[in-house]
Amino acid sequence: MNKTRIVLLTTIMTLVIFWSACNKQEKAVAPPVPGNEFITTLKLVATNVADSTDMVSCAWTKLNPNDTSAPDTSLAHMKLRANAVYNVKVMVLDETKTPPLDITPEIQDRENYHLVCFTIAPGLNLSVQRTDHDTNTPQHEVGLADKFAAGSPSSGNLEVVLHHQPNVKNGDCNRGSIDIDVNFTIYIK
Amino acid sequence: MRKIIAALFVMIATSGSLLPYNSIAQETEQAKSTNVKWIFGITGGLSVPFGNYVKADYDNSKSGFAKAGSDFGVTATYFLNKNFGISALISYHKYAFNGVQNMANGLKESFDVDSVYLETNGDNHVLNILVGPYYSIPAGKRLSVDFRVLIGLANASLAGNNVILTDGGVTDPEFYQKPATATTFALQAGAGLRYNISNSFGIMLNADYFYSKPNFKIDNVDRLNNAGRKIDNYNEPIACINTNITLVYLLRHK
Repeated sequence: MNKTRIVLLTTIMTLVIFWSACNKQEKAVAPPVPGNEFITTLKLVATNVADSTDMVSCAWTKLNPNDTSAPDTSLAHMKLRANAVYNVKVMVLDETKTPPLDITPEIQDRENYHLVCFTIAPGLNLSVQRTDHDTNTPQHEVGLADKFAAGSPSSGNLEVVLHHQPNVKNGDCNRGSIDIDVNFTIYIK
Repeated sequence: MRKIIAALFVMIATSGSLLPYNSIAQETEQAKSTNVKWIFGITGGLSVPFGNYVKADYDNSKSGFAKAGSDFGVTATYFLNKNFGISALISYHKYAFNGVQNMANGLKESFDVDSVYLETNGDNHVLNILVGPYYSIPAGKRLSVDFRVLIGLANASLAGNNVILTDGGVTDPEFYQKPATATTFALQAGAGLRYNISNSFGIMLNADYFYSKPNFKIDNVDRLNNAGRKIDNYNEPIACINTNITLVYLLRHK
């Protein structure tokens, strides 16, 4: 084999090696990261629209969401005046931290894939309207700010669920996963 | 870039004016290397991009998530006289992916989910058709230093990706950033050292600077919510240094 042929073959082989080195797709998986903050507490703070001194709240707490113990429901009840309208703020806390960490701003930052849903038990004369909206196109309600309209005296259960709907939020409560699901007893007097 | 082009023109002009002083004694020996009429070449090597195109910063919408790749092409040069010619190049640059894990981690944080599966879709490449002046300076019996400045069109492709989010045991439907293509002007300038192995064949080592700035319009599919990294267009320079080996075939004047 003469010198010219050797050089030609070497060059062609080099070109082929360069070409084959760059032909591949890539995949990546971002796995769970330990140490995410817990959501231990969901709190409702209600202010009477007609009387700002009428401010009431309720809270549901479970300090370790992973164990099987019962949640602390000692504060999970709220009294509303009959035929009154309340502005309600939903607060999400991590009370494993000292002082307790308010996660609500983080949820607000991520409002485009979070939705608070309310289920009112039959017999409880209450209507709930979400008043805040995200920045999706089209916009959807969020539910961290709400208007509660209390009717005639009654009592019953109000279920509040914070849904996490990454890239599936469309206003429907039956999508995504659940960050926290709690029950309050509401008394209208 | 302007400085590089200016420098190349100065080098060509200067070398041309100095040539009579250098070349008289070697004229006979060099006669063989300067009677070339056509050069045809197959070229390939390493293409190293730089700038925003190679950044892998999730929060920077200018990040191109590309890295060094390969460069292949065919070239033909016609000599108008013993030094000056017109050259054409059809080349294809293909770039590997940079920071795909960064992108997956960023999406995981942005959507606040348990895990993200991300797969690239398509590839980053540029197909060029370029023409321009070529200048060859003999540097020995078999050796010459060649310069070229080429302009033309580049058809570029930007890779897309497919993403699946999983949170709380719920896996959401996949969403996509489709691969995008764009055509724009391109420029390449560089120099090469050519060694003629025989009367008909030679080997050339090239180093070239390449620049183009395609404006990609990007389609995002099944992207329901405004969250996470989402780009609708990408208009950053694709600039790179190509270092190639070129196998050349020489056609000489009879």
